[in-house]
Amino acid sequence: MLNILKYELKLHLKSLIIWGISLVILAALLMLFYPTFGDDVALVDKMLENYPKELLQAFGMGGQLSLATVPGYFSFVFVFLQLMLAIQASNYGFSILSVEERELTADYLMTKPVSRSEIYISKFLASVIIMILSSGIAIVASLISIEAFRNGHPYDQERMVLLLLTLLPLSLLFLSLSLFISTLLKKVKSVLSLSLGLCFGLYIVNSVQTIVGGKWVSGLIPFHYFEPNYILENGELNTNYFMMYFIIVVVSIVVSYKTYLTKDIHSV
Amino acid sequence: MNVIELNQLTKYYGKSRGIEQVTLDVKEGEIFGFIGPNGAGKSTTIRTMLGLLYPDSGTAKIFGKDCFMSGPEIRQEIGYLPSEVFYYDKMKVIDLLNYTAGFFKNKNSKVKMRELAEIMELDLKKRIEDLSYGNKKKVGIVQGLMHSPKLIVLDEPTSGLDPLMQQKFFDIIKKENQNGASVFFSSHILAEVQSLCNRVAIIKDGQIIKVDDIKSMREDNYKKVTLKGNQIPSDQFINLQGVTNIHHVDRELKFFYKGDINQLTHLVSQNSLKDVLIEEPTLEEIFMHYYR
Repeated sequence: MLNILKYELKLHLKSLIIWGISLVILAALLMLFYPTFGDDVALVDKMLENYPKELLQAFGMGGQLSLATVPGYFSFVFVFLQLMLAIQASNYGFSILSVEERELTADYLMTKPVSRSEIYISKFLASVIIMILSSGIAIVASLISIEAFRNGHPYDQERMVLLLLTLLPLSLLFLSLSLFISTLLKKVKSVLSLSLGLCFGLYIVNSVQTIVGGKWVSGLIPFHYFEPNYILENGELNTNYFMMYFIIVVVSIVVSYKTYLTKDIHSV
Repeated sequence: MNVIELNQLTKYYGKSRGIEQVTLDVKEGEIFGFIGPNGAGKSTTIRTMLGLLYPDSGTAKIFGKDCFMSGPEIRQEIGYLPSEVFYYDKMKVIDLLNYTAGFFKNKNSKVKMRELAEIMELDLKKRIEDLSYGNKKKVGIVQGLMHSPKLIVLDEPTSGLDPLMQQKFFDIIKKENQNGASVFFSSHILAEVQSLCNRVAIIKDGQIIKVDDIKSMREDNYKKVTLKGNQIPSDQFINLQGVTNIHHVDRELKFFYKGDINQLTHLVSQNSLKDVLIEEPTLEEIFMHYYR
């Protein structure tokens, strides 16, 4: 098992470096624009008053927090970090098992003395490790860039850390969900289009839901489980969604695992 | 002892037939040929044995253990070379082979890897994606044999290898066999099977239609008879019991004969013929006979 784990980690190393650098740049860029908002509170608030409330909500600015404050601004830009990590995690989820069939290397791997269970666990574990590292990079980079660009404006560091820590469970959810979808599909032709489709699709549904409403729909949208306004305003996670989160993750993992274990691997 | 035991093994792909009630066994130390044209079910049988496909019914045992319950344990002692080989393109040959060695308990894998690579003239430093098809096939041979498996499973292994390499490959297989490895050799090239195997199974439309010694298949059963003459009384020969596969062209009558040889020679002696040939049919001819 260790053999596959080591191989997978080595394989993902290059992608981790690229995603890591991108996350650092993104975190810096997002906060780079904060001083423009933070230094003119009255103007920003007045400007936003002119927009319909639904539109502001759709873009994550519907909370009590003013866009001119550090938490208010960060809860608005936080979704870009969420999206980025969700896409990275989905890329792994859609590819780790399907790549062996797509590139026809499944014959090689599965005729070696390893069980499918070991293959699944090793590959999943490697992706989890990479996502822990990626989320860690995003968290540290965000905290540094907040400190660097907040221009003396105050914020609650504990709440901010709590919010940033939710990037990891969100990544794990997208990893499991995409892995689940990949094992249900007959063939995964393009990993990137599937992961972009899943992440942006759910993001758009999330935005539409905030305008249109519908509480039961919100329970099905992962972005909603880690809503930044709620966390920064209340200093805690929204426990209403815990159950839904665990159901999605556990069902995804269990079903994809079972499907993979009994799947026929066809010849070329 | 049997190395492979397949019992009533059946696999369908949806509604279409893969294999039906395949029953055969391969004894320890033998080179077992498995012949049939494309689509007959050779690969399905092999892939089921290796745990890549799940059968609908029947059992498959290797080394006396169930192929699905004890898959990883069994595969520790199996070397598999498929007809089409695909490996991780971005890897170097040496990295792939080291990765392969990591799966096996045999500590001598890496030493044998170098030996085999030298015999096959394989450049270990190249990337997989830069290799020609024939060279990828060589990688396949090395990764399949480096752990000195007790059972070697070959699925049409020689495609893509030039004649010289084919010969080297057969020499390696024979040597492995002499050292105690059993070989399951699937092919549609009968000459290969004929020169290498002890026993052979013929598969047709997903079913085993014959399992026999190559020797007895050729010697004991059928004689290929060719009669030449101006006026061959073909009816007399065709009506003889045990005559099949009749070809009558101009002044030549060819057929397979399985029966009392005295009856045949008696009939031959009663007719005026220019030439008579009674010979062992080639495996190819026997094969075609079964496929009619």
